[in-house]
Amino acid sequence: MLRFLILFLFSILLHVSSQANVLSTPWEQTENSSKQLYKVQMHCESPLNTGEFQQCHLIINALNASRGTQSLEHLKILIGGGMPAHSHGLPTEPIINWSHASKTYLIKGLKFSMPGKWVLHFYIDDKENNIKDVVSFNFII
Amino acid sequence: MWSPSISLYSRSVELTWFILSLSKESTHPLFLAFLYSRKFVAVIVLQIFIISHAIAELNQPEITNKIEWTNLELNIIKSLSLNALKDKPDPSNQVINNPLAIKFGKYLFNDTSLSQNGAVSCATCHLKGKGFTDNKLVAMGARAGIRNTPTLLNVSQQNWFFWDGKKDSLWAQALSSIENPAEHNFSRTEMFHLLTTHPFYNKQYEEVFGEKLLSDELLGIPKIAGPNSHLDGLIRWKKIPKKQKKKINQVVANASKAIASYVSTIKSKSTRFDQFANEVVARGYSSILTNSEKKGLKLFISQKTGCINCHSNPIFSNKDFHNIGTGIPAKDNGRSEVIDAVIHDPFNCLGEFSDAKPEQCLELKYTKKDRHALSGSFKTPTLRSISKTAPYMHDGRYKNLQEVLKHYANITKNKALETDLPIMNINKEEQDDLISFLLTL
Repeated sequence: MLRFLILFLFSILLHVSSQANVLSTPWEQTENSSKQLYKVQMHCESPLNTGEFQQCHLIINALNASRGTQSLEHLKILIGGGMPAHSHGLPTEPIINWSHASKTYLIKGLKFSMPGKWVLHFYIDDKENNIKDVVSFNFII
Repeated sequence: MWSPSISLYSRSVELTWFILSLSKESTHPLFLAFLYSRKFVAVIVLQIFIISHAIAELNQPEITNKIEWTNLELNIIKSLSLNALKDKPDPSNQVINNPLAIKFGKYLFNDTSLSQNGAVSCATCHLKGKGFTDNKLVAMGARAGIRNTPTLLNVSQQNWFFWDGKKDSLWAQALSSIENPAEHNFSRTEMFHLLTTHPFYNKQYEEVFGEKLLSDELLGIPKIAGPNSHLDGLIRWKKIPKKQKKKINQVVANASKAIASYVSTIKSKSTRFDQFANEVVARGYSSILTNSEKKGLKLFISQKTGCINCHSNPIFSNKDFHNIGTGIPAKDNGRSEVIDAVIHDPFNCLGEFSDAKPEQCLELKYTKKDRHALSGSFKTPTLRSISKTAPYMHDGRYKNLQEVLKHYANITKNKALETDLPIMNINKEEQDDLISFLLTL
């Protein structure tokens, strides 16, 4: 009886932890910029969904080996995008800033209003080196 | 779902007869041996399982025309049920859940004294028996307005208020309607006078906000004056000292918060759709809805129509703004015409009369401000109680759901490029099924 009870409780624990794991699974996608100057990883704390503000950040690395050691915290990044199939843009105007704490670019105010195919464009402006590039992420919510 | 075959039923019946024939002679050695065996228990359990399944299957009226639901569809249906509705806090209104504020707000909501002609209350246009609408083309307050009265059911779930979202809280919306010349036409100082001099309201105000409104403070304040009043009223408002204006603004904002507290309690009750959703999610099938209603639901949540893309969540609204081709440039073009006023509104989430911390005002802070992109956009309306809320669209242009469906079914390639809508190929029968489903909400 005791053995059965332990087995039963263990199976519940396993189920709950697997559910919690699904909910907390981060969302990640990595793309190279159009001029192949940057490798950009977009990382969100949980799977992308509609109707809620997303907790996401960008990790940007230079692809060019000679610039690889350069600090990339001086970039100015603007965001655009939307749903091409519905001819509309993003429902909000997110802001992207460098975070000294996380050493990443934080995306604040990002939200999706509908399920379906979305595209996000990040316009990278490196004023110090006079470089402009763009990286795009296509995904389905 | 597993369904027993005919042959299995036959075998089950044969086995049952065999056991029954043995049991007629309880002393039969073969029966006694069988009775004490484990196999006997297993057979009985199997019999109960098969028979219960057979009964459940036979109880379904649509056994020959059963509509199957995929796991994805069941998940979507679950997300639309009222069971999935969560309370939405309003940090800008600290009395939102205060029972005294709710009581005070209910009185104010139903009181025609809050209008210049003494004939208009919030309940004039938001009638309970009509799904908290008025079934009129456009609202008829002090005079005819320009917009159809939206329902108040589950309105506290919204992020933005009015068809164009010109207010970011329910209390700011209430105050705006009271001051609107086409609605209550009640100026700001009139409201202040009423709250101060009305013994019952004065007492209610003190109980909720802990401050007594003194008649001394009315000295020098004109009876009719306000920023949204007529020209004379506006001039008088501008002459009021800044400190007194702030006091008046605070008092009317507080009273509006009490109204919002009451309005936040107006919620949908469980409908046939909710009962169906709960049953189909639990059992995989349900006969609560008719075949036509189910086919309508299937279409509604499919990408063939894409209805679910905007009419999502238990309130059937994604709370966002979309251009569906109903805006009229230079006359009523929706969100794009109010966005600047939203940002600079003294009664918004970031304003001095809001109880929210700046970091709680995310919707306002990150709202889209591009007027070009917002052109022709209106807020996705809830579809709950849609059978009671005709006519439809922001200006009540469609008197019934048949006309609404016709609008969506007639989106051309060019129109699809101009609006947020895709081309939708739905025939008359499918439109009828969609309407059947909508009437279950």
